[in-house]
This record gives sequence, structure tokens and C-alpha cells, in this order.
Amino acid sequence: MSVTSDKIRVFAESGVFGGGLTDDKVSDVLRVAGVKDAYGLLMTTFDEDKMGMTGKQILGVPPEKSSVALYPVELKAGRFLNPGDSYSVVVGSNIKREYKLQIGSKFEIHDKYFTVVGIRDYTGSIFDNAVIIPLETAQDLYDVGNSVSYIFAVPDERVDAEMLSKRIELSVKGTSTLSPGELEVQARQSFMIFSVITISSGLLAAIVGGLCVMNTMLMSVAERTREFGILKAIGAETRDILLLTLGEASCMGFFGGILGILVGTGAVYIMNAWLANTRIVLFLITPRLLIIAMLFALLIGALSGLYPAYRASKMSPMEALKHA
Amino acid sequence: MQDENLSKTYFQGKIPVHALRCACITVRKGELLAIMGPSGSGKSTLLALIGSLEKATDGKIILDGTDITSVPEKLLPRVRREKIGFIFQHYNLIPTLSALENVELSMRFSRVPKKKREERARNLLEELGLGDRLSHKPSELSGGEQQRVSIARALANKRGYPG
Repeated sequence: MSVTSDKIRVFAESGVFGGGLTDDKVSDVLRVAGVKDAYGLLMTTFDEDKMGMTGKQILGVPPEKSSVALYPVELKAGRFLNPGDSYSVVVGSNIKREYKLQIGSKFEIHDKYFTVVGIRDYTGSIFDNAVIIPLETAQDLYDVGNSVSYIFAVPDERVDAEMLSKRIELSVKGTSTLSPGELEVQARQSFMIFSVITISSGLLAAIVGGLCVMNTMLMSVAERTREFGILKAIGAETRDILLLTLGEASCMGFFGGILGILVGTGAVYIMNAWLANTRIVLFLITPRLLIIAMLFALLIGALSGLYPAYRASKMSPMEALKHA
Repeated sequence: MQDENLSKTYFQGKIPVHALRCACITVRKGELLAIMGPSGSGKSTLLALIGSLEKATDGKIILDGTDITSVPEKLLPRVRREKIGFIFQHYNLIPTLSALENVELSMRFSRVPKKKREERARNLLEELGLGDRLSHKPSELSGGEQQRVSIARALANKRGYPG
């Protein structure tokens, strides 16, 4: 999220794919008070076989801006684009890894071969899947004249980005903007949706787990009806029988919790490895999560054992002893 | 023990079944009493009532000076632990526990400390000739051995029994 978060994105009112933003809009944006710098970018996706959003990006950027466009990303090797470059490319860490690229390697984009001149550091964002080429080259390659996908507007030092964002929208015809603040709100919303989904799944699993424990315990208690009768005849207090049954259910919860944590950790590990190639989202396991998960499992086990325990303790010894 | 006018009536739906009607029995300390009778005459019912496993419909049972028919349900387990011992027809040992653990059971419910109850259980079993079978489970014991474990269990928690 911190990558490009200092800039305001200016889109054509009809969105990125509606077209309509051109190089001259850039000068319009530059004229707005408070805008320190503005430049256009061309963004397309580069998907060899997969379809949809997990693909890689081509960013056409004015060469002199290539070092600041994705600020604060540093270079791992090589350089950013220079003015006068035509078929040079700066690649993100994922691209480098996937295509096994080095400085000087050839990389094919849209039937043309580019020379890798720079490799960016790992960021953990989708920009790891992006390659940067000179804007003009990109515009030629995709034959779009002098169109750009969006414009980056860099605010002056002490200017409020949110206000500037609105001002640009009003001053420059046919634009809509996405300020850093709005970007954060969007990200937060999608994160919330994600959280709701994962929490609901967790809750569902818990309920199912609890019911399983209850069912198992009820069956176990029913099979040992006679034993409970014996215990009562020997002089077990109701409390003893309750604790006995609850203890069993809690044990189930405990071992279930351990198993769940092991499987969950394994699954998270696998998912993180798989996702490292595509999206930003990473799953994190914290000690706090482990403790909560364990306590939760124990609690569910104990609660589910309450009803079977009650059943067990309320049996009449005589009835129980007559049982199978 | 003294029983007066002891009665027990079961209900099958709405039909009353008079299992026991006005039984009166007196047993003195140290006496051995055998109850005999044809099938259906109420022997099991009588034993269940005396053992506090069933509640009498009418009458009194006075055990060692205490009227157990008027003891609240909550306190009955204690009576069973300390005054009544059961030896069942089919032994009824807990199959997952060893002979020693089975005998210790009622002492556990009385919260007797571990060392003491282990010692007492061991002594009882050794007296009954099962000293080398302490850790065996019921399934690993013969019928006669299971019965002896049953006896040891019935006596384990009773005060007054030497051992």
C-alpha cells in the first residue's frame, strides 16, 4: 500500500479502459495550483496463458520519471530508464524470478524484444509483477497514439492531497481522481470483506466442530450407560460424573485444537507460497492467533460436552444398571 | 438395618405394578441374611431400595441409625460410599480400569488421598489372593477373580472393616 501512496491518480471519467486521457491532459493537470509534478502512464496487462487479474502488468512510464513513479521502491540491480531508451525494461522481483532474468537478458513483450536494464526490489505488492518500459515505446507498441491510462499527480510539499484531488477533478475537464485517502478506504473495505468471509468460515467450522464433539460424546455416554450406573452405585456424586464427561469433551477439544493448528499452519504455508506469485494478500500466523485458536477449541469442546454430561449425570442408577 | 412398611409401586403407563408391599425386615450387626423367593417376588426391588438405588413409594429404611428414606437425594451418594457395598451378579467392574483402580474407585469419590487409597486397595486384594493381578484389566481376569475384585471394591471404603 505504501507504494505510490504519495500520489494522486487521475483517471478519465469513464475509467481506465474508457480511454480519453491524453498527453495534453497532463499539462492541464500540471497547471492546477498545488501540483508539483504530473505525468501520464500507460498500463496494460501481460498475460500469456492465464486470464484475468492475476496477470502481470506493463507500465509505460516517461523514462525520466521511472525512478520516482513507483517510489519508494529501490533497485536491486541495474538502473532505471534513461531518456532516449526505447527497448529497455525495468522488471519487478517476481518477473525476474519467474523468467530467470538478469541485467542484459532479453524479455519479450508483445512480439518485441526488450533488454533488461534494471531489477526492482521485492515489495510484496502487485508491482512485483510489473515491468516498466518507456511511455512512448508503450504507446507505439499498443498503437494508442498519445493516450495514457492515468496520470500521476504529485502534490506540493505542504498541500493537502485530499483537497488537491478534488481541485483537479473540478479544474480539469473529464477527470475523476483517486486520492491516497480514498485509496486507503478502498483497500480497507476490501480487507473488511475478506475478514468477514474468513471469520464466517471460521465460525462455521467451530459450530460444526462443536456439534461433532457433542454427537460423539452423546454416543459415548449412551454406550456407557451401564458404567455410569455402576459409578453411581459405587457412590459417585453428580458433580463427579459431570466433571468426568466435561473433561472428556474438553480433551477432544484440546486435541482437535492441536490438530487444527497443525493443519491450519500447513495450509497457510502452502497458500502463502502459492500466492507469492500472484497477489499481495499474505496470511500471517501470530502467537496471539494460536492462543486464541487453542482456547476457542477447548471452549467449544467443553460447551458441547455440557449437554451429554447433564444426560449422563441424571441417569437413575437402577435404570442404567439394567441397560446393556 | 430395619425396614418398616416398605413399599414400592412402579407405573407402566397408568397401570400400577406393586413390586413390594409393606415389607418389614430387621437385620442385626454381624448377621448374614439370604433373601429367597420365586422370580417376580420383589427380591431385586427390595435390594434396590435398601441399596438406595430406588426411592421407596412408602415406608422407612433405617440403616445404622440413619433413616435413608428421608435423606435428600444429594446426600445419597455419600451414604452409598460409606454404608453400602454392592456385589453384582455380573460383577460390573469398569472394563477400562485395572483391578487396583476398580477397588480404589469409591475411595476416589470420597477424596481419600492417593497413597492411602492405593495402600488400602492393595491390602484388600492381597488378602483375597489377587496380589499378582493388581494391574490386570477385568478382561484379563477369570470369573472368580473378577468376583473377588468386586468384593474388595464393595469393602474398600467402608469404615469398620479392618485392613
